[in-house]
Amino acid sequence: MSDKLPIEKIVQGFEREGLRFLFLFKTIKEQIQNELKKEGKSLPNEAILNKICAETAKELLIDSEQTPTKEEISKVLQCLKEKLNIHE
Amino acid sequence: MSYRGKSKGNYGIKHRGGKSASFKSKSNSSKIHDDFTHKSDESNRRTLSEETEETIINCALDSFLRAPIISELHTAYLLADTIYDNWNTITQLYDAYQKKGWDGVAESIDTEIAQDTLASIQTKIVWSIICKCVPAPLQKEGKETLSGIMNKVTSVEVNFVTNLLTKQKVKSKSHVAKQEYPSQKNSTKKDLPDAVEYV
Repeated sequence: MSDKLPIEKIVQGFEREGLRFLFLFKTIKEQIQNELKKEGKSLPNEAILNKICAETAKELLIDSEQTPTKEEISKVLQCLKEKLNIHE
Repeated sequence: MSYRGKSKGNYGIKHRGGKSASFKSKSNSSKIHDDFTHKSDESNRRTLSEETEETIINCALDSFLRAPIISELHTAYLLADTIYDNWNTITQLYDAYQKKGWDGVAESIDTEIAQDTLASIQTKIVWSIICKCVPAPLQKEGKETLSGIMNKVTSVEVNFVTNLLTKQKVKSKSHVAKQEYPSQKNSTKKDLPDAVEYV
């Protein structure tokens, strides 16, 4: 367990929204990293990856007391995808 | 955490007929080729490594957004909320483990500790508390997501998120302060939230 962050460090100090943000951020990052590994591509600079994941998490973080539905998350992802395509 | 092959559904994400990622790749490849052949333009263009990095990221993002990750993200919300709601219990259980080991945990809860997928002790402890709050269809994803977060999150990532959230809070507070008290230029340090510093 010494190589893992103590749970206190992961959770303590974050408010509910902050904890949600951290969880979304890490989940997204894991997904992107897994996808790159599967495709045999090298991982980008961590700072860039962190920035992208944080931006995506921010888009997904719906400011609500309730957990958003799958439909709500889906809509945000759809908007994000469109934004990315326009950006390119 | 792998989602490929789990489900074929797109969960409402519209796919644009073709693969925009591969289109982008081609487009970028030709740009890169141009960079090589017309070196006079080099000063006005981004470097090859920047182009390649952006292409990789765009491809990854595209396939990431096409993938059925909605459940994972939905589960991530659920896990964060459940951990937040049960934080005191988790702390008590963790203390019990540190004092008496698994016997202490067993005394505190009557659920069976999940042994598979969850790598570290702390992840098992957290899962033992929150598993009953995670709906059955999301249990597998929930375990994997929790394991991925609890076992893989680094200090750098926690710091990054903490700093980002602190900055955002300061920004929004400063914005509110400006609206409420136009004469007040910026929020002072007193206005800052209880920033968490993990150094």
